Amino acid sequence: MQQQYVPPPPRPAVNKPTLRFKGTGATFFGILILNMLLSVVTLGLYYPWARAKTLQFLYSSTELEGSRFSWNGTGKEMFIGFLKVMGIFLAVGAIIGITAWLKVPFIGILVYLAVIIIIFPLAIHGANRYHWSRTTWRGIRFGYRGNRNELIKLFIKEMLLTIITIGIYGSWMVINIRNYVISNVRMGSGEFKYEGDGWDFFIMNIKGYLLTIVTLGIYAFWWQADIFRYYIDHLRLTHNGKEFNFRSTASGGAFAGLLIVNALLFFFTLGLGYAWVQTRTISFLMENVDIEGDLVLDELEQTEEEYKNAMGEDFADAFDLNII
Amino acid sequence: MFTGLFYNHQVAKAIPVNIQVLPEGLLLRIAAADGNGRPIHWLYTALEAELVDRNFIRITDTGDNPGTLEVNNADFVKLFLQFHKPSPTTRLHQLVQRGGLKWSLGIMLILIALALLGNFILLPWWADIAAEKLPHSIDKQLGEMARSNMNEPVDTAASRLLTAFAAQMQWDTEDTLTFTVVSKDIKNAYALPDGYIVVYTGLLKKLKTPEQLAALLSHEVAHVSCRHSVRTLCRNMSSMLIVNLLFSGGGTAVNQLYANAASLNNLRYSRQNEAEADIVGLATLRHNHVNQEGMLSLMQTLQKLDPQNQNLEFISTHPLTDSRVRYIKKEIAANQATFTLQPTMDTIFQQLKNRAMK
Repeated sequence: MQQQYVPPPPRPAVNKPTLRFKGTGATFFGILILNMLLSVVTLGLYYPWARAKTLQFLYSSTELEGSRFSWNGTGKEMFIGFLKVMGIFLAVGAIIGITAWLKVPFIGILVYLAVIIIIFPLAIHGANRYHWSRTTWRGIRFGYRGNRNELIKLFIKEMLLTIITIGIYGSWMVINIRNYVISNVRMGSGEFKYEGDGWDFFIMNIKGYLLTIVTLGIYAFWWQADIFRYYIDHLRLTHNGKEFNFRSTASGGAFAGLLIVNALLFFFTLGLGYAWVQTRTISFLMENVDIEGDLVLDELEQTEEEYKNAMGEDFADAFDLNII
Repeated sequence: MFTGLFYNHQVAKAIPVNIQVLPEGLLLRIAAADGNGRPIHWLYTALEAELVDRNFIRITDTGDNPGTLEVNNADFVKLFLQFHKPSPTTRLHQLVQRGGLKWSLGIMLILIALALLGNFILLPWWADIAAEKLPHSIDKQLGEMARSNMNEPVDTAASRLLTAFAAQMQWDTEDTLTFTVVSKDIKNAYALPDGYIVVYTGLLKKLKTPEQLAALLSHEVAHVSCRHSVRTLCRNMSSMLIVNLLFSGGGTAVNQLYANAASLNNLRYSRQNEAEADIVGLATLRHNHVNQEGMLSLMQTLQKLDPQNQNLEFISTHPLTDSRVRYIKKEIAANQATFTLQPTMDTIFQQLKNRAMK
């Protein structure tokens, strides 16, 4: 009998795309200094355009598997968003003024509190929609599929629990919101998943806090490395049943080296070294993310729509929320 | 012929292409498996380019057949930008992105020049306009605020004498003036914005003529009538505005640094104030027919004081430079005026001296 050769079922190939930051401090310095000049000359009106230029540089300098990311947002979009944000602030101010004039300041305060509570989830939602829709890689748009009302409900629930527990629930709040937001981020047809646990995050932070006190601050670098690892290691990208896992390789010692040199660089250049501090930091973070899995990036398809309303982005910027 | 990566906006697949730069556009040939490249024609007019650095450029066709091309080649970047002209601000950005530090440093120099211009020319101008708009009640409040922080031993009898001395002169100001003698061995005098003028006995002892005292009071009253405190305050506030404009979001360490630099700058401003107070003070002396030389001899008397003496506060706040003597001399020469002997002032002055010497 002829022996037939049966090839073994093909084992999924393991892909290890690299993530690298290619930007130099000198180029970034040029961009920042020109932004500064144009902001001064236009009495600050250039700010949204300056922000767009900065983001463009940072995204276009980041490379995944040999291709750079791209930021397609424009200064004009963000300027319009800024005007809307100003409009809302003015409207809220007007309502409070009118209720005070009508001798019912109580209603004004209620409106103010309601706006404050709702504005944060709105900012997170809007910023993510705008930000991801304007991010592309190999011409494929990212996207955010979160539901606004769900996020507002989630935010209010988590916020109340945090207030009731005098802040202890904060760890769960951060992680639950992170789980919701990141798990709704798309990279074309690829889907991100974040599965963090409030309890783990809480224990890690308590440990970091106590050890930092005991070691007179030295442990702060290792705590930082733990937080970074927590954010990276629970992240996955899935597509058609295949997936990529993300893993941080940054140690506390490496963080210490980075942050100490950064501080010296900033201090001894009287702040002029800011551009180099930033590029060094981003380079470090990118180099310390390992990606591994059977997902094939070439197979990602264009699925996400364009979204050009930058209001949420500007809200987030106004509150100095570093969401992304 | 250059090579680049092409993306068709449908799948995240990097497709290697050969690129030819033509006068009217780009010709891309996809290196297909069978060796026959399918050509794509791109016109410059339909393209958007994003220059990332001197080597890397991303070109997007936003038309019916969207696609993106990425090229990592400095020669290509240079050639492409000769044909594809972007907007002026984008071109400015491209200069710093391609030229590197040379352009950045140039821009930094422009920024420094602007900051200097703003600080030394625009700011004093704005500050004076702002100060003029502020009501005089602000001066009063400032003076009261300053006074509530000091508790000095007032010599009531000497103050009465000083007030009588000052009443012999006409003061060209709307503010109510209060003249006070404080019995402390400090060689100084000062004026608060609400018209509260203090002379220490330490300084009174050193004065030799009533003209010198008249000159001293004229100088201090000029600080009040010229509203130097409010003007300095306005200037400080506008300094902070400029610092914020430059460094909004630029790190607090830098902010601190420049805030301190701003306070050093105030010394310079206060010297300008001193000069103005001298000139206005001289005019007051002239109107009152007091010998202007009193101002000059006041300076000279103060200059002769032992510089080792720790109590020479007048010198640190009122620098007795040669230039100061020089412009006072010049001002007197330019505005000659008659003066008369003032017997009443002389009598009061002697009484004051006697009391101070006790």
